[in-house]
Amino acid sequence: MSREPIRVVDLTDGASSEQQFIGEVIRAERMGLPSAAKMDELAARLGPIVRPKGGGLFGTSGRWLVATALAGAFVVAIFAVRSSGTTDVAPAASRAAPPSEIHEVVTPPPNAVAVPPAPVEPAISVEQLPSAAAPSRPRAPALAASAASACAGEIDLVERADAALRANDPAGALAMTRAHIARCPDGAFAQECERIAVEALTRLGRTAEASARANAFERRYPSSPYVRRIRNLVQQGSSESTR
Amino acid sequence: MFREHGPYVHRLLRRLGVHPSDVDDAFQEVFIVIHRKRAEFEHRSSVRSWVYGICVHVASRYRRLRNLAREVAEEEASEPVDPTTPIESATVKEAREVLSAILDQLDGDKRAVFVLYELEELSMQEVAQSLECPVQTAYSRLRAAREAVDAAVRRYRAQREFK
Repeated sequence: MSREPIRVVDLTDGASSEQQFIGEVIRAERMGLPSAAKMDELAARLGPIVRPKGGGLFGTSGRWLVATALAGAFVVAIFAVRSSGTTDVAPAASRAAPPSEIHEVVTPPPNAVAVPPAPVEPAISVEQLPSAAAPSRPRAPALAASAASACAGEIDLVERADAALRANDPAGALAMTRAHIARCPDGAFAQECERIAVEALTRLGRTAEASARANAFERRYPSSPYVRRIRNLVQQGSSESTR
Repeated sequence: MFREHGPYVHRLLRRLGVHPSDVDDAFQEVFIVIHRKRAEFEHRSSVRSWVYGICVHVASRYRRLRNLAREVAEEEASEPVDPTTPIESATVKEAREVLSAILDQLDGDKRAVFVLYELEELSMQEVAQSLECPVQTAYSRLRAAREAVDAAVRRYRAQREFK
C-alpha cells in the first residue's frame, strides 16, 4: 500500500501548477455531500428496501416497515382462511440474504402469523466485514441459472425505450415496451419496462390505460421502489387531463 | 448500507459525470441493484469497492442514455463560474463545476480511475476491484488519467484567461 502513488491533494513539494490547481479544486469540492434532508428524501423514494441501522421504527423508513408488516399480516390472515386444510405453503422469501448489513424488508412468510414489528437485525459495520481475501466459494447455482435465463438484448431494449422517453418520443417508448413484453415476458427488467410504459401512456394522454396499468403494477410488485414514482406519474397525468 | 454509503454514492455519481438532473434516479438505481445483487456479493472485495463498482456501471449507463437522448437543455446547463474567482476561495458549488468541466474531458475509464483513486481515495487494489480489471491496468489508467487531467487543467485555465 505504501507504494501507491501520492494523491494530488497530498502533493506538496514538486507539484506542478496543474497538480496544485486540481488539488485545490478537489479540496474545495470535498464537502459537497447531500444534506440530511436530501438523504431522507432519497430514502423515502427507495421505500422498503432501506431502513435505518438502529431500527428507528417511526423514522421515515420505519413507517414503511410498519406498513409492510401490517400488510403482510393482513395477507397472511386471508391466506390462512383460504388455505385451511392445505399444505402448499412456499415461504421461500424468509431465507437470510448475505451480507446482513444490507437491510431488507421481506414480506412475512405465510406461516408467520405473529409478525413482530420490524425486528432489529444485528448491524455489522463495513470494518467488521472480511476484506478482499476471503475464501472463495463455489459459484451460487442461482447466479448461473439467472445468467442462463437472461433474455438476450433485454437491457438494450429497456435502455432504448428509456432513451426514447427522454427524447420525448412516448409512442416509440411504448412500442419498445411492447416488444420487451413479447420478447422477455419474465425478464429481469420487467419493473423498469412497466415504469416506462406507464410514463409513456401518461405523456400520450391515455390516462385511463396508464391508471389501469399502474394498478396492475402495484398489485404485482407491491414493494417495488417504483410504486411511488408510478403513482405520482398517474396522479400528474390525471390532474393535467382534467385541466 | 444506505446510511453508511448513501451520501457518498450520491456524490460519486456526480463525480462520475451523471447529469445533475439524473443523479437522484441513478442513485435509486444503484440501491436497487445492490438490493438485487446482495446474494451475489462474495466478500472478495470490500463492500465499498463493490458498491462503487455498481456506481461506475450505473453512471456509465446514465451518461450513455443522456448522449442518446441528446437532451441537455440550455436551461439545465450549470451557471458559468466567475472566471475571476480564485480557485482557493471557490465555494463547493463552484469547485464542483470546475471539477466537472475538467473531468468531462476524460473518457469514462480514465474518469472512473481518477475519481476512485484521487477523489474517493480508494486503494489501488480497491480501484481495480471496482473496475473489475487487473491492478496493473488500474495503475496504467491512473497514469494516463493524470496526464489527461493536467492537459484539461491547462485548457481550462487558458479558456479562463481569454474570458
